[in-house]
Amino acid sequence: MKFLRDSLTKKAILFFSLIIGVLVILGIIWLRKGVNTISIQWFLAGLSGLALVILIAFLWDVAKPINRVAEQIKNLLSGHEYQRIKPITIDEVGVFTHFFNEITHDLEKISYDVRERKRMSSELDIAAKIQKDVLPKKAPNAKGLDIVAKTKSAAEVGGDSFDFLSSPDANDTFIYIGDVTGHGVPAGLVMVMVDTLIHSMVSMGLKSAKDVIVNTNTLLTPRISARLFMTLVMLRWDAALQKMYYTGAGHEHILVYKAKEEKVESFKSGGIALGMIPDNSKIAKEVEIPLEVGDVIVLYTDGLTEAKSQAGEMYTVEKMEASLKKHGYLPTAETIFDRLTKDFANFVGEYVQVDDTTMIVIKYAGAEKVTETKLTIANEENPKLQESTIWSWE
Amino acid sequence: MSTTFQFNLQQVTNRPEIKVINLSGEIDEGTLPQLESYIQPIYTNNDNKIIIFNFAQLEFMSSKVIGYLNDIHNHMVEQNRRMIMTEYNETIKDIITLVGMDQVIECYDNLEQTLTKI
Repeated sequence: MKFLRDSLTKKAILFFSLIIGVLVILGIIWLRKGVNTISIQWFLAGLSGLALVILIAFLWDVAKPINRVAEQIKNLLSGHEYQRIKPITIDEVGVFTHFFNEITHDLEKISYDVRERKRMSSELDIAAKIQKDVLPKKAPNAKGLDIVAKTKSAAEVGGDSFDFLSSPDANDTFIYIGDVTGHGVPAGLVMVMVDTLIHSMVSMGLKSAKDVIVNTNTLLTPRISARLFMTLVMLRWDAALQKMYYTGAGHEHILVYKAKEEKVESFKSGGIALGMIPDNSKIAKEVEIPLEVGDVIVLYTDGLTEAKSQAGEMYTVEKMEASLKKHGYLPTAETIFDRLTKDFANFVGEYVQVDDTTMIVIKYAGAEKVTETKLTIANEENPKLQESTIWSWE
Repeated sequence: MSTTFQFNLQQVTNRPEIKVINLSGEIDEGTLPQLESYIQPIYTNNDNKIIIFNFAQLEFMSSKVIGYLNDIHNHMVEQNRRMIMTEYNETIKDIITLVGMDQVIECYDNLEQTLTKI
């Protein structure tokens, strides 16, 4: 019977076959009994009965199931509450009913996904704002230094970080740049943790960058996954002595432009990345960077050196060095920063950024020269700048 | 830009407890999941007492890969097993030494030397 129930056409054929069959049987019976004519009343009554049977069958098997679906479709389209419908037939109407149930199920799923995406997007915006709030807004009072620092995230939340902190006695300025494995929310959370820890260490009065890094690592390591780590290099500027020191935690090279010799010295920051081992006290060291007036220090994250050109070639530290050698003589950190950026942008062309990028340029202007630090954080919210195909910090 | 990499497992004659994983090409965030699914059954097998990562043909690995290798190293050390890295070129050496990984994980210049030392 399933064969006959799965189609309205088959049902109609069966129904009319039955009616014709009944009429034929009645005809045969009447003929055998010698009834050759029936009255017009009987004929009309029979015809009315037949029409009634057809109507009831139509209402029951076609109109009623269609109305059930139509009513819920109306509710759906007019924004009212709708319900799933249990199919009572397996014909075309049953198929429409099933289709309606599937569509509404998918709509509910899509609607949930859209709501969820909106919620996540809003949370990401909050996370990005928290992270941007963590980045410094105020220039440090680092007498003798001219500093420009910029950062750009590849995702809403980035893993790169930098900050400037003053010691409680205001003599020392701590400058750090860091890069957490990967990017996105996990990297951003670690970045915020490290920044908070470093602020605590410096405000507690720790005197050397080594102590800050060792204590930060001790507190950080047990609290993050073994897969996450943060490379970092921290400079300590002693304003009274006009001396610069550095402590590495597995970060990139430090580039130093020697103004007198017009050459670039590049050396590894050393140490081990934060979060890799529980105790890095035997590895971390604070080492002096001898500086003379006009010398330039460049700190960067691997988003710059590992950026690729259209041809798939990496920018590399060697190209950074060559660029610094060419522009290190310029009078201000800002002009040097701009020229380094221009060389980088020319190399990568329409490169699509896949990693966070941060760079700090520090020019030793001399003890007598008081300069202001310029801080810029890329404005990721400007859609016009986002559409630009030429690489920039904005 | 997608990168390609390959890996294979090498057995050491008469030393079934040692496994050598040869990696080649470039490994980054995109290809790391493939590497993970390949390596996971090898490093979680306690019969493999020593795992040697041979980077002879490896051209690049991202910081996420370093994090993953550090995770494997910690896992193995906890179980008194060893993870060793060997035969890296200048690029890989730079990446490993910059992060300071060579200070916590055993590293040797070539596979022959590695097998002699262990």
